[in-house]
Amino acid sequence: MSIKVCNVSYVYHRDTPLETVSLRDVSFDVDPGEWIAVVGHTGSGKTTLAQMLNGLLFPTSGEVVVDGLKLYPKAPHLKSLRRKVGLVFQYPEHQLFAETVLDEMMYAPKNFGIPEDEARRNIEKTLELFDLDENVLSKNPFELSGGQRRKVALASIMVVEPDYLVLDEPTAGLDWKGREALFSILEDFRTKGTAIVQITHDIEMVLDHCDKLLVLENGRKKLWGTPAEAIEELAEKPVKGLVLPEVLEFAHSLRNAGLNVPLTWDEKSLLEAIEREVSSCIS
Amino acid sequence: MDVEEGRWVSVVGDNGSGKSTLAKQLNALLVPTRGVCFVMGKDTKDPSLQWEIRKDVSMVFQNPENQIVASVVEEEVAFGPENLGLTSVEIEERVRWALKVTGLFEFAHRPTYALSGGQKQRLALAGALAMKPRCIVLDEATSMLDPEGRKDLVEVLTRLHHEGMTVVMITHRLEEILFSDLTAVLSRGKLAFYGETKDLLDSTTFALLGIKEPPLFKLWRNLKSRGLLEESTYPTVRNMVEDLVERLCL
Amino acid sequence: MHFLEHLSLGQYVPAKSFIHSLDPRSKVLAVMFLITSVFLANTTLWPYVIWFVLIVIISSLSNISFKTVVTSTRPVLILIVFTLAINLFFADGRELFRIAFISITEEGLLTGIKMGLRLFYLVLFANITMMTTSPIELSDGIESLLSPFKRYGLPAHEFAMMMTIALRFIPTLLDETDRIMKAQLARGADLDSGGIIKRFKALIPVLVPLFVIVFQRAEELAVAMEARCYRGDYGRSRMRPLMWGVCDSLYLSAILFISASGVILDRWIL
Repeated sequence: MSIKVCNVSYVYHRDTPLETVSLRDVSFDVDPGEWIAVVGHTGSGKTTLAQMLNGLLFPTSGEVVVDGLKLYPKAPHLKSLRRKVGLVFQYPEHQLFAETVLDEMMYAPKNFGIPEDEARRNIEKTLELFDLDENVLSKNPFELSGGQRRKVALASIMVVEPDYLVLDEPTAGLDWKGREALFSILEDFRTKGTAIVQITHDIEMVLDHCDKLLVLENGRKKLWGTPAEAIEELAEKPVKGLVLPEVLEFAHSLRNAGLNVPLTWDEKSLLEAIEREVSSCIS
Repeated sequence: MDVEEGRWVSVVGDNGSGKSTLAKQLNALLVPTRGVCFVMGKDTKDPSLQWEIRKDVSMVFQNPENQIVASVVEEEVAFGPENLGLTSVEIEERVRWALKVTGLFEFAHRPTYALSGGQKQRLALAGALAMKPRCIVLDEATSMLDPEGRKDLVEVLTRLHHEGMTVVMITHRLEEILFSDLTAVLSRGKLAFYGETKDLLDSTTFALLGIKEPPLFKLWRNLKSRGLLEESTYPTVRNMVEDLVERLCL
Repeated sequence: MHFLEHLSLGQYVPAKSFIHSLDPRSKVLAVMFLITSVFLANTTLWPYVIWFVLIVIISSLSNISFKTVVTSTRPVLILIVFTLAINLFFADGRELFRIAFISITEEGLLTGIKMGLRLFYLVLFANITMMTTSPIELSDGIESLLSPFKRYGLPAHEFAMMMTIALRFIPTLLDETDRIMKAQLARGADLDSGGIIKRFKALIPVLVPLFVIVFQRAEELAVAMEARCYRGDYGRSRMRPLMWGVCDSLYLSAILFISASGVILDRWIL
């Protein structure tokens, strides 16, 4: 049970003057309960990759296999795989269309042929996870606040209980409170066994949460590893368009200046290390 | 609050704190329901002065896509000056200047839809600059950009500010207040703080103001309180490293 | 990246060329002459050869490859084939051959080809004009051509500005549509199966968000335009005022001559 991406390449506008290669020979796996961050600059191919995990785009070469089944155009299992792999686009609140939140949340279950009573139970559970009140169901999604609309949009995807959740810049446009609320919801899903693939250009945001990072540069896999491994490399060899956390930059510069501090993005442990170093310097 | 000409003011606050409403007051796109707002000595409530006010105060909005009128870069920049009824020579000159300042000169004849998000936002800035305003108001103009796009935009603004431009920058990224002389903090529609940016950085009241302090700021404050950094050091990576290295004589 | 990536009906291609540098008014008038003549010349196939040569010449004068011009008609190809088919199958006349119960007649074949070609040329002429004229120029030109009717209450400027904005937002809205379609597909939507009613129903989750976004964009754009001192036609000048030159007169006379001779040849000589 996993998503396997093998040697995937993707070319837009093939055989036209506008031909552009978006992805080149990218491979990685997503195992159940893992949190993968796909990080890259604008145009690095990360959004293309996200759409491939869900069968919205198909690789020009290479293959994407979800739970042992390969994705290809018009595959008979495409719809059931789309249920397994939830995909949240950037600004998901822009996809809301129904008159009530209930109808919005029933849309995906109906499409996937989930019986109504089961869907109802799922909706209740999902609302609770998103910390949304029952009475929101009868409201018009367009009456809600921006943060709540985002939650409803996410909930309307999570309600079919996908095993994998792919999110494209899920925190765009949220303030830090909204961001923190979202991350705690995602952590809840992860502990329940849902794998998370988060697509972002902001590496600082994902370091504390993800198990593994996939760094893309101009469509190529630049790096694949745990956050600790990734930052070691990124600090030495910067990748186009990626900005490291400032605390990490600071630690890196100090280390280059000869101070023995760990490469960390955690401000508390860096403070302790600096104090230790300074006292040993003085003594 | 007062903003003197030639300063760079940041306005920060959470979603729904009233930042955008404040920004639109400066351009007379919104007028106060109570109280008064004077821009360059002109009352924004006076309909006959609103057009004049908009000549002096230009705005760049959040979504670059929704403020571009034309399909070609140079035509887009010309839109504002054309509304002012200038001669075609004057318009061409302003367009050339604005495109150069924003680093888009080579794109003058490109279609606008082919630009990246960061380039589109610089185009929006060029369109605003072509009005030759005395003040630029940026309403969350960096929030939809990637780090590169943000950096490019801020660089252009810094240059303009050095030449005397007044900048009002609405943002929810606290790292961006470092460029400004003054900072205003809005919380639920109220002015919670307005003063020198340095004083805000020094204060431990970030949490009280309802905004989250960037980790580097926290580290900077802790290092200072332990006497490891000079009082005057600014919380940027470069300043902090230089200061610390000097102190430890490495 | 798009379901709709091939839908690029007459997108402006910025370049420097003879045709690009012409006054938009001469181009708009020229395309009107051409389209009229294509509709008037309908007895023989000869004028279509003339139009073909003309298009080759215009495309070479505009630095846009002939292939690009022709492929730009792809979105309406179905319509052209449909026109051809309708005439082919449903015209009376001398039977040429018969497939099952459908008889193909000589008259049907001829009118089918002519109607199809006519539509093809119509789109071709319109597209080559749009590809060589930026939307702002185009709307300035149309505004200027319509301005005599202003005194009869025709809102020429508003009409032209609406056109500019509509053309500017076509690529943006295509992207947007593509995104929403994909987002709903990811939620299990079935957009391309079932009968007409089912398909239309399936499109509601795409159309509603699209309308919401269009209105939101329109509102934000209106504010942004106001912030840039826009107040309609009043006191507005142009960076490139329209200038009618010798080239324009020459170009327009040439086009007028060719279209008229096409019609005359077709009707009275051949």
